[in-house]
Amino acid sequence: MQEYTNKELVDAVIIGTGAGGAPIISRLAKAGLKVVALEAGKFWNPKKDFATDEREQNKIIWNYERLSAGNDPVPFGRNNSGIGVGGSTLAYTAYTPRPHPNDFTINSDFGVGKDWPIGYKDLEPYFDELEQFLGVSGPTPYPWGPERNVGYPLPPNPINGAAQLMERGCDTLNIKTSPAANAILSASYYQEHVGEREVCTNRGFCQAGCNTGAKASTDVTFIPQAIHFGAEIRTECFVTKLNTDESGQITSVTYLKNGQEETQFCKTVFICAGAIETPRLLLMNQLANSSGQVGKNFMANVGSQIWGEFEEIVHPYKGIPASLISEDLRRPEDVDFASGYLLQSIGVMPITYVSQLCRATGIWGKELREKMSAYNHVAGINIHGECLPYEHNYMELSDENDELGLPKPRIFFSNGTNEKRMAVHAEKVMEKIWDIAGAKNTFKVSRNAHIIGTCRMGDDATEAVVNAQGKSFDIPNLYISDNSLFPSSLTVNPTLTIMAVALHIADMFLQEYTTSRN
Amino acid sequence: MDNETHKNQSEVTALLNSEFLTEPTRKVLQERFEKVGSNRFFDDASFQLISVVCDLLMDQDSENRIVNSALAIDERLSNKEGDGWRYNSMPPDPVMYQLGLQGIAETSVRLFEETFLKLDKKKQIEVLNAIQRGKVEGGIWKKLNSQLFFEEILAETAEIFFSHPTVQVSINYVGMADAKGWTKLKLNQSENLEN
Repeated sequence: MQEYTNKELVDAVIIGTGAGGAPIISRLAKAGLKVVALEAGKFWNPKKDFATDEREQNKIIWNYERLSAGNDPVPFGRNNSGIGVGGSTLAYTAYTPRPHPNDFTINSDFGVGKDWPIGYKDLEPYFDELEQFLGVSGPTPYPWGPERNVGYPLPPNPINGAAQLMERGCDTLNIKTSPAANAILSASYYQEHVGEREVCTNRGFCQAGCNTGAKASTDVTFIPQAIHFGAEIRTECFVTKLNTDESGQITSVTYLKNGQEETQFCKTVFICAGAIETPRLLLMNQLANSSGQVGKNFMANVGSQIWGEFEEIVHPYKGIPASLISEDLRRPEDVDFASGYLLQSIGVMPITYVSQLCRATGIWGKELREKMSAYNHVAGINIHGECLPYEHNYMELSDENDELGLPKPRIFFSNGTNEKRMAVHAEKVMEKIWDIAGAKNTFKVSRNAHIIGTCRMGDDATEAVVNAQGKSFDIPNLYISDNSLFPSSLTVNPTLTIMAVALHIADMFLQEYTTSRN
Repeated sequence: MDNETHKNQSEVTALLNSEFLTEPTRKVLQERFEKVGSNRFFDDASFQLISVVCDLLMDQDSENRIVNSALAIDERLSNKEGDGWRYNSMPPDPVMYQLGLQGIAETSVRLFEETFLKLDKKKQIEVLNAIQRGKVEGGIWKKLNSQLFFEEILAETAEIFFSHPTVQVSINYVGMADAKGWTKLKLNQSENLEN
């Protein structure tokens, strides 16, 4: 791997190696730029380092404490924040549904939320590219959304027990379902500069770390490509300061490595640290916030679940956890809320299940032991629904410091009327599906998944942090690329869109860079 | 329930030594299976109390315990490890646990005029029920939300308890035996060691 010295003025420093950062690292390195990526965590070797054990795998979760406030405090860490080369893609389920054109126009369509300054057409070439590059397995043609230029490169993965049960319930209710599109290989797949990745072995452990390389986390896709093109991936570097000159431009980035401060000089910075760490870094440095929007509009998709026990043996740990989807309710008619949701089946590992079970139902003692003895017969169904941005949902710096001496972030989150109505609607639908499928002893988990917003992109410098190219309105050599810049939360799982926006930002940057050099 | 769970020790040993576990998985589970230790964060009296509370939460017989979840809680707190978040209304975990245990002691005396460890199991369960339902008054609970404390200790205890290979085998979970992957995904299909 290429290595640069701190003193060397590199073209770009990218903070974070997840879905927002990795595509940029690779794109810029390929264009011949000197690129250093700073990653807070380690570079794991999944075959040697990852155990099939949820507790052990807490090491891929961002465990720096966040304070969860509001009426519906969001649990952080597991399922929404990863650490290590790959970032949160180490822990994602690799669900890769595309957003639809109207996902970007919620305000025009419903008069609530915020439209995006870019649209489906801007991102479509990147969706095409990403699906081929990552090796997405999915149905062609895909049953929902606009016609595609290219089909998925691989057929769908086999559907697991939970998916078969959801299919059964939905068929009777005339809700159309389909095997989901996942960035998980249904056949071995070769990519230049990455090599051969093996077919998924259905071990069901996507959310706690894939040990075969079948799941397209960035550590087995974009990062090897980036290294091939000459990028340096510098690990266990926790960025604390963005240093500026008199004109306000960033000149260098300071980070903690092994408890020592080091400073890397650079021409441009891309912050790709996610919806909490990105605004946290800006607020700590009091930068890029002339709009006052840094940390604002925090969103978390509505993610209500219904769990049930079935007569059949389900073995909920087997197969891709989220293997069946329905987009029929993405824009439901005759409802009292804006936007809509996707329906998705869920398999589950035992620790995630018991933790949710305890928190949602409060059962313990003998009752809990009995309930857990039915684990092999358990299946879930959940939704992924739009969450609107609100003034009352935001992150701020608290006056309590973490182990690095940095202020812990405090995040306020309360569902609004739209989210509550959507959840009520969805719970009725899911209960019907599960009832028909034969579920007994069902219970509901009210939750919000995926953290979005906090550094919104827009066309107006007074109400957005970055422009449609991801560039700060205040600091011309500062960019953001991650889920924080989403103006709306979308109905679909965010990762594919985060990556597509990252490629869009990288290409826009390179265009400007090349023009300025000529 | 636990006598039956204890009976599966040979099954657990066979599983841990089987070709169906990857080496990293075997290492983690073997260490957990053999783990012994003593309290470093809690003092002896507090540790005895939290151990019994954890046993009650998991319906374990303290005399015939499979897993002492309190040991892993103690280890986490002494290593100053977190899990990525906490309720803003709650104090940091080390403080929450210390206060919560004092609260259990207080509630025990208020309800039954006796220390928690001297109560019979039925009364101990009543104390915990009162805490879970927020039917507590004064003292410690003025500064600590008893319901959230209960949720936290329950969730952590359960996560530790059900991570133990003996307990996992007792609920017929063999997901850790995935070294060769899974091929039979249809409902009611089983393979390898699956029941």
